[in-house]
Amino acid sequence: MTAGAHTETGRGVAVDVQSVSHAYSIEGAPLPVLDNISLRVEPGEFVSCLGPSGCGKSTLLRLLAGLETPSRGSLLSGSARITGPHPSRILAFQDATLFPWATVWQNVAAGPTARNELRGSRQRIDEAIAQVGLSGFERAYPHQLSGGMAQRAALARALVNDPSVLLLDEPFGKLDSFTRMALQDDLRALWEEKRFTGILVTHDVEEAILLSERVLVFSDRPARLLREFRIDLGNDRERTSRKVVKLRGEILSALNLGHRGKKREAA
Amino acid sequence: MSSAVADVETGAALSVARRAEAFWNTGLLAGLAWLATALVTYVLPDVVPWGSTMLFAVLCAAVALALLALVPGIRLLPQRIAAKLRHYGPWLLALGLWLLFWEFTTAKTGWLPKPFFSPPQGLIQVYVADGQRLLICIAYTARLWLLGFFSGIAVGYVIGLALGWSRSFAYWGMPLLKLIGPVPASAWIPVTFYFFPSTFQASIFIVALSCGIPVAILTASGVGAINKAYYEVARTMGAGTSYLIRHIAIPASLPHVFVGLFMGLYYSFAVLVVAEMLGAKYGLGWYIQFQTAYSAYANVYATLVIMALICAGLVKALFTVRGRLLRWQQGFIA
Repeated sequence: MTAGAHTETGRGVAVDVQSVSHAYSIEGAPLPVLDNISLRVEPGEFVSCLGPSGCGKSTLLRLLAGLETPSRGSLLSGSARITGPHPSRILAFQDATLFPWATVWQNVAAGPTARNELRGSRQRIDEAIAQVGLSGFERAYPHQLSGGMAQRAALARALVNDPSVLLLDEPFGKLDSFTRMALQDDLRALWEEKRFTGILVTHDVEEAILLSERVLVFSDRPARLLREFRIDLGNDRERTSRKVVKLRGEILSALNLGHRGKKREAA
Repeated sequence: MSSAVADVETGAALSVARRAEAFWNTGLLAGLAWLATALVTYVLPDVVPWGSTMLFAVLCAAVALALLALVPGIRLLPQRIAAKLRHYGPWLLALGLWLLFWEFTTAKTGWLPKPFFSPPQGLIQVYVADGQRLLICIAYTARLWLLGFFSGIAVGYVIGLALGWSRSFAYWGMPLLKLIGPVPASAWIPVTFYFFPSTFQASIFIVALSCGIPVAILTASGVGAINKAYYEVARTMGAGTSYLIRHIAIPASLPHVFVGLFMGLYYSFAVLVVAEMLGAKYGLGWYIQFQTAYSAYANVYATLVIMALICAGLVKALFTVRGRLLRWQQGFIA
């Protein structure tokens, strides 16, 4: 089990979504949330998913994490079919979901503890905490942390497992904008260093542009893939650069939000 | 400028507060109340002789003198103890007045007659005359309670975890638990007589049942109330069932479990009288029944006071344990 985990962790692997449809059953009636989605994420690529609220993007992440199985179609991580959760694919939620009864260190150590690998992982845990800038807070409890610090701890808890795929479900959605910007920069730096495959669900177009190589735009529920934007910015990612602003306008119009923005500008 | 005014104002407020603290006014009132009780006890004649009247008067006078000495002397005490005394000042006053009322309506006027009511010295007389037997009873009850309470909460906790964790266990278990829950302890006596080889074991079972049920129900609801996202986070990181139970279900349900433990503690005390109906030769519950049969209500009240004090001490101890284990909850630290 642990040997298998190691062959799959580390650098990013490709993720394939093949004709996936998914429906929830709400009081017996089917509620379709994903409609025939096919996409491929290259090894070490960072992709963002944008779309209207509740369109099913988070469901896609839950399927990729293996927390649910799709109604139709299949999902692959590398060449292996995703049938259940695996520590090589870590999902980070909008709420930090830190265990409130455990200290920051114990929270970050959760993965290694769960896999009985704690003995050899202590240094890695300390490093992960240092990487997200939480050194000195190892013994703090979650309720003593600010929202930004809690998300940092959650990020460390994910990264300590050295995932090959990191699934991020609006991880910065509840943070104030300054904290969010700082964390976006940090996440970008961590990705450049580790090159895991990143899939981010977000409602923040700027965040999607700054962090990813590709932005996927989904329709309203049931989600279909509408358009994709390649973000050829390399490492030159300034929030205020003209390229970023232009891309932002294009993506907003793809989401049918651009028009309203123009009207406001005219007024 | 305005901040300077504010400084002067807070300074004035502080000095007023300090003056108020220099003398312990509540202590003065409390001391007078206790002194009045002592005087009434000593000066007025008893309607019926109770014994220990002098002892009660002396005790009240001693408390009164201590309180009066503390009125100016509270400054000399360590900060922590002084603060605690000030906090309980109104209670000390109320207690003094209550004793005065109690003494007056029972021993001095007989408005509340013997044998249904007993004056304070009646209780003291019980401790003086029957102290040794009461000590033995305390020891017997302690043995029964410790065995019953700890086996009860242990079994109740395990059952509660299983009910909260396993859907099929909950399907069969919850309705049974809800049926058993309201059955009064005395209704179990015939069955326990049949199933347990000794009456002592039957008594342990009744105490265990009384505290095991609330612990089981609250543990189950605590486990059921856990945010499912915690399990999902752990599962994506490779956690198996044993991790989910040991590192999530158990710590996350702990706040509920403590509510169950507090309820269990009270129920287990309430049920002691019934548990010691079963052929016990000593024990506080047994003592209460025995004395009730002889209409010796002073003895009953004196025993109830002992039980209440022991129970209060255990509640306090449980609060300390809870504070330790639930340190991580908001409000317990910083």
